[in-house]
Amino acid sequence: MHDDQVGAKSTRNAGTDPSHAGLAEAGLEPCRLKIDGKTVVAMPGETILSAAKRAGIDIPDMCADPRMKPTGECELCNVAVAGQTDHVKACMTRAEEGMSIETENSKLKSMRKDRLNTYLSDHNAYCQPPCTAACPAGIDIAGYIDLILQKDYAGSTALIKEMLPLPGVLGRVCPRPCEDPCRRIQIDEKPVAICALKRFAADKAAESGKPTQPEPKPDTGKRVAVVGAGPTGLSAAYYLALQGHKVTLLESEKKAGGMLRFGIPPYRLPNSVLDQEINDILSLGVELKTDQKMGRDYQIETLKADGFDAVYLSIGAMAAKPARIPGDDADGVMSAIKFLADVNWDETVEIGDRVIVIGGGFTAADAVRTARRVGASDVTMMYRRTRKEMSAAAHEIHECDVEGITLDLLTAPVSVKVENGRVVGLTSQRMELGEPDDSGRRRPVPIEGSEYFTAADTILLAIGQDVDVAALKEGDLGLDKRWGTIEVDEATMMTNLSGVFSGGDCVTGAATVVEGVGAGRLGAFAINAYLNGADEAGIAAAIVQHKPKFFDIGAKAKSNAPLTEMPVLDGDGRLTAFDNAGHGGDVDNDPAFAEVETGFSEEEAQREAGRCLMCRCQAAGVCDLQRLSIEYGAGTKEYLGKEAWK
Amino acid sequence: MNVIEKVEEPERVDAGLAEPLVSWPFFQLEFEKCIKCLQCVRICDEVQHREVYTVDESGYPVLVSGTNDFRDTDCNNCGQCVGVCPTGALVDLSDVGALPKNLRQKTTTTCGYCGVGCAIELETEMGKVVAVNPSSVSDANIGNLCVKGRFGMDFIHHKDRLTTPLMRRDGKDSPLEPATWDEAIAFTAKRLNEVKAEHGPHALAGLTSARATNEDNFVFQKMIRCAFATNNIDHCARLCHMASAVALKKAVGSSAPSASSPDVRMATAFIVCGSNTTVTHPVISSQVFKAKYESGAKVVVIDPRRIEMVDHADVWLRPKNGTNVAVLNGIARIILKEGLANDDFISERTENWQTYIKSLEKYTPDYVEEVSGVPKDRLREAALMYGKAERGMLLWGMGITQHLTGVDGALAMANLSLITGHVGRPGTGFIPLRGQSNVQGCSDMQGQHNNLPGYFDIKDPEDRALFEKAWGVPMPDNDYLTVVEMEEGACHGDIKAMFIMGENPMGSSPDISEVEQGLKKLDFFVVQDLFLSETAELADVVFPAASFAEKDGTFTNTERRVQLVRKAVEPPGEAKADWEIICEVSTAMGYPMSYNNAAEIMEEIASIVPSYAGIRHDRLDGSGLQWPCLDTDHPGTRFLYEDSFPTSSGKGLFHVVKQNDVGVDIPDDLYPLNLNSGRLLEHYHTGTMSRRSRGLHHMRPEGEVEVHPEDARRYDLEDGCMGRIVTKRGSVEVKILVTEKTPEGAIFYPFHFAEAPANRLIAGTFDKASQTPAYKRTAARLEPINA
Ligand SMILES: Cc1cc2nc3c(=O)[nH]c(=O)nc-3n(C[C@H](O)[C@H](O)[C@H](O)COP(=O)(O)OP(=O)(O)OC[C@H]3O[C@@H](n4cnc5c(N)ncnc54)[C@H](O)[C@@H]3O)c2cc1C
Ligand code: SF4
Ligand code: SF4
Ligand code: SF4
Repeated sequence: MHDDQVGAKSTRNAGTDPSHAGLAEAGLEPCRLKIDGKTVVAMPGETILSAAKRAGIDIPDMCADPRMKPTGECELCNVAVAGQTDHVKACMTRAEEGMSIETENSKLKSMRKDRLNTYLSDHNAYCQPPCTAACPAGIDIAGYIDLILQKDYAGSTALIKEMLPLPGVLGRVCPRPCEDPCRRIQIDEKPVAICALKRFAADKAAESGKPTQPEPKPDTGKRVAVVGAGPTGLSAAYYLALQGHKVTLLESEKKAGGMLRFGIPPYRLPNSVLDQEINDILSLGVELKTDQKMGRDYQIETLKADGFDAVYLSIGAMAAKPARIPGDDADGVMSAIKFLADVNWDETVEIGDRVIVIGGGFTAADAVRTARRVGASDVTMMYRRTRKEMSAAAHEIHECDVEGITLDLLTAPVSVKVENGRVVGLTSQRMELGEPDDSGRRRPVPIEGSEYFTAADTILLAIGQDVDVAALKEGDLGLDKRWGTIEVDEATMMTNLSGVFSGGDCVTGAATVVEGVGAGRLGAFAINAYLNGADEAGIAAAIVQHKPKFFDIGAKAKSNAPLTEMPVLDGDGRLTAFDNAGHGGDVDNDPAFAEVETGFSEEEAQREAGRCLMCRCQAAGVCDLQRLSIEYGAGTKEYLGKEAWK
Repeated sequence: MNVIEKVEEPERVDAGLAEPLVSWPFFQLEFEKCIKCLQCVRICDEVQHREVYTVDESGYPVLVSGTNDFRDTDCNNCGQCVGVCPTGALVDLSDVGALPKNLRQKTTTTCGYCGVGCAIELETEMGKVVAVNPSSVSDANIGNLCVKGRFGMDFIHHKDRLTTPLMRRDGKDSPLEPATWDEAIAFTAKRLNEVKAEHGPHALAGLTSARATNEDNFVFQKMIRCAFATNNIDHCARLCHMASAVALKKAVGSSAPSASSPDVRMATAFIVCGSNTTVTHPVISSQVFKAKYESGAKVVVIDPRRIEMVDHADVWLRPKNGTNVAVLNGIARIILKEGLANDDFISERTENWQTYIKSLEKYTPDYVEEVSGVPKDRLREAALMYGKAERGMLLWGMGITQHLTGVDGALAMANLSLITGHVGRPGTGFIPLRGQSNVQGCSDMQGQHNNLPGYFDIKDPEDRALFEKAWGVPMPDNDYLTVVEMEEGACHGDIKAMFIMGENPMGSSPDISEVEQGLKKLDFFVVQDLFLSETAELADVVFPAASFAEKDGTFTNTERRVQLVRKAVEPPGEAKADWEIICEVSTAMGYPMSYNNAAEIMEEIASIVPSYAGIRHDRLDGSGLQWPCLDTDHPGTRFLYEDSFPTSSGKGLFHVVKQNDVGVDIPDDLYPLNLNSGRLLEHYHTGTMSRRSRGLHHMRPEGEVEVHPEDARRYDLEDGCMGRIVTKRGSVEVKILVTEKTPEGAIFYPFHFAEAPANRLIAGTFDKASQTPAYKRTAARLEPINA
C-alpha cells in the first residue's frame, strides 16, 4: 500500500471560508456600528458577536467558538437590528457600517428562556450537592465518598480535614444535617450514610498511620490565644496553626475536648478517638495549657498584654439552666451535665435504681443511657413534646428504646417531692401540642388536672445550658442581653473588642459540634486576615461563604443497594452488661461503656459509598448552561442556598 | 488538596442508565448532562480532524466505534471536546480539585512541554495544581491544547520530586544523602574550583536545558563563562535541530524559524517533511488543518512512515530512508523546469543561483525515482503544488535533521523557499519544528557553544569586548565542545567536572553506555533537576529545581515568541528556581551574581541581546512578543526577512547539496533492518516528566517497536509478544507492534523509556557539519524471545 488512502480525511469539512484567512490582504476596511447605544469598531469581516465581545458587550451564546465555523445552533445570540423585522444570529452576521443593534429586550429574553428550557429538558443533572450546602462545615461530601470508593481512605480523610479537623469525632456524634436533603432519598427513601462513611474513612486512615494533614505554612511570628479547648477552639487552633501562627490553647479543665470529653459519654465517643485527633492537632505545634481559667487566672486584657496578637473565645455554654420548680434544690436533684461530667471524669456516682431525666436533647439522651450504665435499672426520660420534636438524633432515641429506657412524652415537671431533704419522686403534668412557636415546633400546652406522680431516687435536669458569663469580665466584652451569649459581628466574627474573635456554643448558645468546628475554622481565617492587616471588609471577604445556586434535575445512581445500617452492639448483651454495671469510676475500661456503634466493615462502606449519586458537577460555576439559565430564569426548580430542602 | 494517585482503571458498575463514554483516565461523557449541542463532535471534526464522534438517532454524540471506549477510536485524548462542552457533560477525570471551578485560583502561563508554547491556565487549590485549562490569550495556540498540556501536568506534584539538595559526602562510593543548601553549595563551589585549579578551566563543562527558562539559561551560561571561565557549554538542541540551525545560518543568515502560527493558518500550500506533526506538535497540526480545510490549502507530506499527516495529505511522498535530499532537489528541479521559479525574488534577494541550478540537473524525476522510490508523477504533483502556491510554507522535523546528511536536508528545504520566494511575506516561510519548550530561547541565550548570547561571535574581539565590559571579566576563547564531544572528553579524561541543568543525557544521548562510562569517570559531577533522573543518579551533588509551574520567567517558542512563565504554586520542599541555584553556585565560586527576580534577569538580557532589547516581563501579557523586538515600543516581528536577509550581503544563499548516502550503518545480512527512533504523542523526551503523569503513563506504559507485517512474518514475530532489538551497539527487549505505519525493512522505536532505552542501540555517527546524531539510521535486527 503506497498511498491508496492518502487524504482519507479530506472528505468532511473541506471548503473555503474567506473570513478565516487573508482578510488583511482582502483589503476590507474596519467599520463602525452601534451596539446597545455604544459605538463599536468592527474589524474587517468581523461578526457582530465577535465585535461585541471585544467591546466588552455580552451577547449570550453557547456554541460560538472562534475556532469553528459558526452554526447558529444555540440561537441564544439572536439580536435585533434596527430596521429589520427578523432577529439575526450575531455569530453568523457580519457587522456592517452604520448598523444599530439591540442585544436584549423582553422578546429576546423570553426567546432565550424558552431555548434554555429546551436544553434543560435534556439535562438530568445537578450543579452542586445539597449535602455539602447543608453541612455547617461545608465538607466536600461527594468528594470524600468518591475517594472512599477508590479506597484512598487517607486522601478521603485529608479532604474532610480541609473543612474540619475532627473527622473521627464527627463521624460518631454529628447530628447529620447533611443527610436530610440527600438526593438519594428521591430514589429509595433513605439518605446515603454520609456520617458513618466519614467515620469509616477516618478510622481507616488512623489505622494506616498515613498522613492526613498538610504541612503548616512557615512561621508568621504572630501569636494567638484560643480560650476554651472544646471542638470550636480545637478547630480554630488547627487552622490557625496551618496558616503558620503560633497558637496557645488555654483550657480551664484538666484536659482538652470540652463537651466532647465531659459531655458526650465514651460509649458514643471513645476517649482514644478523641485523644488521637487532639494529638494530631497539637502535633502542628499548638501549645495546650490546661487548668487555665479565664476570669480566674487571666482576663482578655491580660492576654493582649502577654503578647498575643489576637484572641479567640470558645468557652462553650456549660452552665446548666435551672428548672425553677419547687424542690429543685433537694438532694438527688442535679444537672445532667454535672452528672455526665462526673461519670466521664471517672468519679463514682450513687444515683439509686430509679432515675428521671427531664429534657429531650443530646444531654437528656446521654444522661438516661449513662444512668443505665452506672447501675440504674428504672430510667425514665420525660419530655414536653413528642419524639418528633426531640433534638436528640432519631437513632439515639432508638438506642434508648433498645436499652430499656422509658420515654414519658408530652409531660412537664411541676414539683419535686422531697422527704428528709432528699428527692423521692416527681409530680408532672400532661401536655398537648398547640400552635407552632417561633422555632417552628408546636408549643406544648398543659392539660388541666392531669398531674401524676413518679417515684425516683435521682432527678437529672437536661433542659439547656447557658454561657458562663461570670468568666467574662463584665463591662468590656459585648454580650447579647437576651441570651447571655457573646455578641459578634456576623460578617467578621469579631467581638466589639478589636482582635478578639469568638464562635461556637458561647456565641450561638448550646448547639452542635459541627457548627462549632465550622465556626472555629472561619474564625481562624478571620483572624488570619486580621493579622495580615485586613480591615473589616477584608476580614469579611476572607470568610464569606458562597451559597451555591443550583438546579435539581433528576438523579443518577451507581448502585441499587439499600441503605446499610450502622452495626451496633447486640441489645441483649448490652442489657446484661448493665445488670452487672458498677457505679462508674473507670469508664474507659468499663464493659458497660463499650462503644455501641461498631462502624462499617470495608465491604459495607464500599457498598454504601456506591449509593451516593455524586451530585456535583465539575462545570458548576463555569458552566454556560447554568449561568445563562440563572440569568434568564430558565429551569423548573431553582433553589437558593438553605432554602433548598424546606 | 492532596493530589490523588489513582492509576487503576475502576470497574464500571452497571447502573441501568446510559453508560458514559470513557477515555480513562482522561475524561468521560455523561449523557444525563448532555444537551446535544454537538460542540464536541464539531471540534473533533473541524479542528482536530480525528472524527471520533458521530451522532445517534436521538441526537446524542456517540463514538464511531459504536462502543463506549474512546480507545476503540482515533481519539488521541487531546481533550478539546472537554474544553468546548458548555455544560458538565464531558468531565475531566484528571481534575483533582475540590472547590467549584469558579472559586479556584488561576494562573495563565506557558506550557512546559513542547516548542509550540501553548498558553494554558493552571487551576490551583491549596497550593497544588488541580486542573489545566487551555487559554486563548496567545496566538500560538488560540485556545487549543494537546494531551500533554491538558492532562500531563500531574508530574508537578509527583512524589518523586526532589525536595532537598543531595550529595555524596565521602566520595564516589558513598550514598547520595540529603544535605542543606549551604552545605551543598559550598561543597559544589569548592570542588569545581579545585578541579579548575588542578586541570584548568577547560576541564569543566556545562549542559543547559531547553526546558529551563531564558532567564535560567542566561544565568547558567554566564556562570560557565565567568565563574568556570570556559566556553564548554551546549544543550540538547544539538541532538535535534542543530542541523537546521547550521543550515539556516548558512542559507539565510539566522538559525531562527521565519514564520509564525498565524502564517501557518494563512498558508495555501505546505511541504511537511520528516515531521510527525500530529504527534510531535499536535497544536501546529491543527493549524495546518485549519488552513487546509477552511481555506483549501494543499498539503504535501514527505515521510517514510505512514504517519497520521498522510491522512490529510494531498500528496504523500514516501522516500526510502535517507533519500530526502534527492527528493527535495527533484522538487526544486521541477519547479525550475516548469517555469515556477520566482525570478524577481531570485535576482533581487538571492546569490549563487547559477551554480545551484547547474547542480540540480542530475536530479531528473527518473533519477529521483530510482534513488528514493518516489514515483515521478507524484513528485511532479508535489512540486507543482508548492511551486504554484500563492503562499508556501515548509515544516520540518527530526526526519530531516537526524541523519548523517542533516544539514544538507535542511539546506535543500531552504533552497525551496528561496527558489519560489515563499519567504518574507505573510503566510509564507519555513519552520523547523522545535521539540522542547524553550529550544529557541536556549539557543538565543547561548546554550550553544559557538556564540555568545544573541549569537555574538566568541572569536570576534569586538564582540568579546562588549561582554567583557558588561560582565567585568575576560571572556574565555577556547574552542567549544559539543554535548557529544563533552561526553567523549569525559571518557578520555579531558573533561573532569560537569554541571548539567535539567538534561538527561543518560536517556537522550546516542550510545548511552559510553555516556555512562564518561560520567562515572568525572572527578566531580553536578546535576540540577526535578527528579532523580538516570543521569542524576550518577552525580556527586544533585540540586532540586523548581518546575515551570513554580517559578517566573520566559520561554521562547518555535515561532520566536517570548512568552511568560508564571509561578502558580510553591516549589516542593526546599527546591528553588534554576537561576537562583546557579547564582548561589557562581557566587560561592567567586563570581557574584544576584537578581531580585526573573524580570531583572530579562532586563540584563535585553541590554545585551539586540533582538530581545524591547522585551520586558511586563510587556508579555497575552501573546507575548516575537523577536526581533528592538525597543520597548517595538511590537515584535511576526515573520522574518521581509526586506533582506541577515547575511553579510543581505541576500539569501543557494547551496549546492548532493544526495549522498554515506550511511556508515547500512543494513547488512546480520543487521538487515533500519532502526528509526523518535517520539510519541504521549511522552516527552526521556520521559522524566511525562512518564510521571498517571494519564500519559496509562496511555503508553511501555515502548513498543513498530514492525511491518512482512518483516514480522519474516522474523517470526507476533503482535503483542516480546522481542529483542539488536544493533552493533547493544540490545533491548521490547513489545512488538505489527503495523503498516512503518515501511518494510524499517522499524520504529520511541526513545522515552529508560528501562529499555532506544539510545542504547544507536551508533555514535553524526552529521559532519552540525554533529547532530543520526538517530534515524541504525542497522538492526529483531529476534523473538522464546518464553
Ligand atoms: C451531653 C451532651 C451531648 C452532646 N451530644 C452532641 C452530639 O451528639 N452531637 C453534637 O453535634 N453535639 C452534641 N452536643 C453539643 C456539643 O457538644 C456542643 O455544641 C459543642 O461541644 C460546642 O463546642 P464548643 O467548643 O463551642 O464548646 P464546649 O465543647 O462547651 O467547649 C468549651 C470549652 O471551654 C472551656 N472553658 C469554659 N469556660 C472557660 C474559661 N472561663 N476559661 C477557659 N476555658 C473555659 C471548657 O472547659 C471547654 O473545654 C452535646 C452536648 C452535651 C452537653
Ligand atoms: S447522594 Fe451523595 S452527593 Fe448527593 S446529596 Fe446524597 S450524599 Fe450528597
Ligand atoms: S453546572 Fe451546568 S452542567 Fe453542571 S449540572 Fe449545573 S447546569 Fe448542568
Ligand atoms: S459538547 Fe457536551 S453537551 Fe454538547 S453534545 Fe458534546 S457532550 Fe453533549
